[in-house]
Amino acid sequence: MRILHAIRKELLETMHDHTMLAALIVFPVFVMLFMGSAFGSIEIQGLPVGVVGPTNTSFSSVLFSDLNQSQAFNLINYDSEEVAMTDFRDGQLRAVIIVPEDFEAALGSGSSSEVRIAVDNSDIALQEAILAAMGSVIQASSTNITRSYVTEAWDDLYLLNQSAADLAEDLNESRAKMEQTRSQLVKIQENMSNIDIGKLEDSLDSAADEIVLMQDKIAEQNDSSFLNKSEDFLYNASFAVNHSIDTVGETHAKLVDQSAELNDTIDALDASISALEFIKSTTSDNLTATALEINIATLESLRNTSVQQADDIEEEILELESLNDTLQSFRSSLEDYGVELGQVKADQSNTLGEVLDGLSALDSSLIESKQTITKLKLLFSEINSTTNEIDGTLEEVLEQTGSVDALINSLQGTVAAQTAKDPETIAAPLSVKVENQYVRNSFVDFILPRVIAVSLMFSCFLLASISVVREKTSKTIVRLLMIPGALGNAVVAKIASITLISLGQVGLILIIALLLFAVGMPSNIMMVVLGTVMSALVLASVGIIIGFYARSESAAIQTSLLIAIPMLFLGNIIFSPDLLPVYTQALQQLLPLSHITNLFKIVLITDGNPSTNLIALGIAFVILAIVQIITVMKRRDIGQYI
Amino acid sequence: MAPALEVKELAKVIGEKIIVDRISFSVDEGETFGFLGANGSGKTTTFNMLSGLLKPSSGEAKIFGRRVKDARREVGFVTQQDSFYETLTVKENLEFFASQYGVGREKQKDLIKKIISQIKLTSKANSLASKLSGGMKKRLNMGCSLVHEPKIIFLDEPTVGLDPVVRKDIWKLIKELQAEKKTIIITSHYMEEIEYLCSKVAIMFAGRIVASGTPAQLKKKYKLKQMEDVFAHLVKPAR
Repeated sequence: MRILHAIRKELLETMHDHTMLAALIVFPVFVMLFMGSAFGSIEIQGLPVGVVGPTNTSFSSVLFSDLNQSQAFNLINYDSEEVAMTDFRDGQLRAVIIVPEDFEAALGSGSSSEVRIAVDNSDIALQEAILAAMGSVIQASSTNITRSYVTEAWDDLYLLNQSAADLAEDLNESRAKMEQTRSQLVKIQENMSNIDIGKLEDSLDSAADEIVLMQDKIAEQNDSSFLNKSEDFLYNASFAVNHSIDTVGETHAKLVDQSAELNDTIDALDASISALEFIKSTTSDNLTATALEINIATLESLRNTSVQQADDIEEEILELESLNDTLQSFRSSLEDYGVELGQVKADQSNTLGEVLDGLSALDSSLIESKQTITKLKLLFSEINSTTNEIDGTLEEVLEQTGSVDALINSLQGTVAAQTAKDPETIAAPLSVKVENQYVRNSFVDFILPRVIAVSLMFSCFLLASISVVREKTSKTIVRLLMIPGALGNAVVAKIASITLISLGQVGLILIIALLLFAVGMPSNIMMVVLGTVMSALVLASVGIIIGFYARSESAAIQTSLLIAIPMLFLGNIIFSPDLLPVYTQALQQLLPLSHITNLFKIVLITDGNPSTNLIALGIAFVILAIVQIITVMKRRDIGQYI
Repeated sequence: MAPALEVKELAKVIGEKIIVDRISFSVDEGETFGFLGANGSGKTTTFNMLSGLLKPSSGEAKIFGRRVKDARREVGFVTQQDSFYETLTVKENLEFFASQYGVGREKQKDLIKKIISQIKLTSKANSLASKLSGGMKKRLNMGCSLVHEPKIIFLDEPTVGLDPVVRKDIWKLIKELQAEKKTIIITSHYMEEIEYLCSKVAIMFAGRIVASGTPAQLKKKYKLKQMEDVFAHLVKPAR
């Protein structure tokens, strides 16, 4: 039972230790995710690779198209090998492919060409992954280029075959045409033997002339006939009668008007006379009466004259009306006669029309006959053209014979050109020369940046975090809180002292590497110092923050490990970051250890410019400094420490 | 002349719990003032507020007429637990805290020599603090609070857990400080310590000062012969 209680106590202690619990859960998940990804496959994706040399020629485009399609590489073109190699040393590129200037010419002539690949041999896993990926792509490209040779040969042969087929088709067509022409000629000759075209033409011409003569005579007869003259007479007589009727009508109307006017005058004279007689009967003046009598007499004389004239006009009107009746009767007779004449003329015209139609039909028949004769003539003409065609076809046949000769020559040339290529070269046209860029004197050379980065990380984390925890556990933090500004001073002093210790540590590592492993001295000592200072500032800041939140030294160590171990996975220490899943790329950029490892790699191995990593560390330090200030402000409550 | 410490209606409330309930008192310069109280009575919280480590919820405290925040340079705070660097020597500890208070290098040398002598660690000046005995550590702890020559010193249970010999050493040191006219505020569970060292006493219970005066006045007031009986009498209703 006691052992059970002891086990229970141990389990309870573990359950109450939250940092340990987090480590127990987080570590396996993390290891599963990243180790699984790293060891599960070594597929690389989108690695920046510089390309120098002709890239747009037909063969190089095959190679780079294959490299691009592999998605393992992100190809970046460079005009200068020097610039590409500078970027390579600065860590911007993972490899550089250098294509020789005579690449296209060499491959075009069926020779092989050597492509140089500059690789980072300080990262063996990445190097192998890159070379494996490139090797398979170059192998594929080589196959593609070989395929292009074979395809080219096949294309040439296919074209030759096509030309021969076309020629055979042309020959068949010519033969068919000739046979067709021959059969047409036979038929025409058969038809021609039965036809006297000249005689037929002459008889048709004389018949046509006769028809024309008959048509003319009918037309002449039609124009000079008695019926036409009678019609003209009737027309003129009708016109004259109509004119006379109109004249009689007009005169009659005038006379009626004059008669009405005279009757009006007579009525006026009667009224005047009556008036004068009334005046006369009423006047007593004799003189006036006498004068009135004279006037009345004058007016009566005038009245009588007018009456006489009116009677004359009445007689004339009666005569005109009689004349009008006579003329109307005459016009009616003319119209009846005209109708009868029109009927007779129509009958005659119909008869003549039928005759003319007959003649026209005859004429049409003659025209058709003439057309037939024309066709016959065309047949003769076709015979001539067919004869000419036969000549042309014969000429074509002769020409095609020349083409056959040319085709044979071409075939021989193609076969000679293709068989001139060396089969071994065609089978593997591309060769690769791997150029390791960095010298390795011992096994330490390439791991030195990682050794420094890991050493700095653990020493800074642990020194800083434990130092802060000790301030809390020893209650010295209470004294520091009592002194204005002392806690801030203490934090700055801790970071500064850890930075100095880090410089000593890095110096010691380099001296040991130099003395025991013959590692070369770094060419840029100032950059080593600057890199160490920046690394220590960042890592110590992380340690300080851990220390403020950790309750004990063991908690600080656990928390430091909790942060350090993921960084070991992602910070280019255990695995090359490029071999880890793509989704970790952004996370890697956020981790200070990645930049510290890269910085020391550039300074100690590639001899490039680590400004990108320095800037990243500078930004990280500024952010961490702000976090530290906030942490110090928040952790000033004395209650947490007493 | 302003009192060395003047407290008015000082209170501390955490959540809904009243830790210190509007206490008021004053301590004159050169006086030794004792705080008596059971565990959880609010002594330490009051101490932390008076030393500027904890912000009061209400009320105010003034040290020589200035706000506590502005008079921290005048305050020496001796924590109940030792608070110095075990990995530094006695001298290094004193030098470090003196430097943090901004004591000049020349003055520092004489002052540290004097303090080392005062805390009777001359022979151990260059020994690591971790190597010191319990009594020595207590004395070093006090010494670290004196490196800036504070006018008022807060002592939080200075002799708790110490054997009688060491306790006597501490008392002797406190007496020396009294002789230097330092104002001393002290908390303790030990009645004889309070009676021996303090000219004035305040008894705290449930965050409030339930009685204050000289030990003689309190014994007379409650007609008891021992301070322990006075204390027991005052805190009895709560127990």
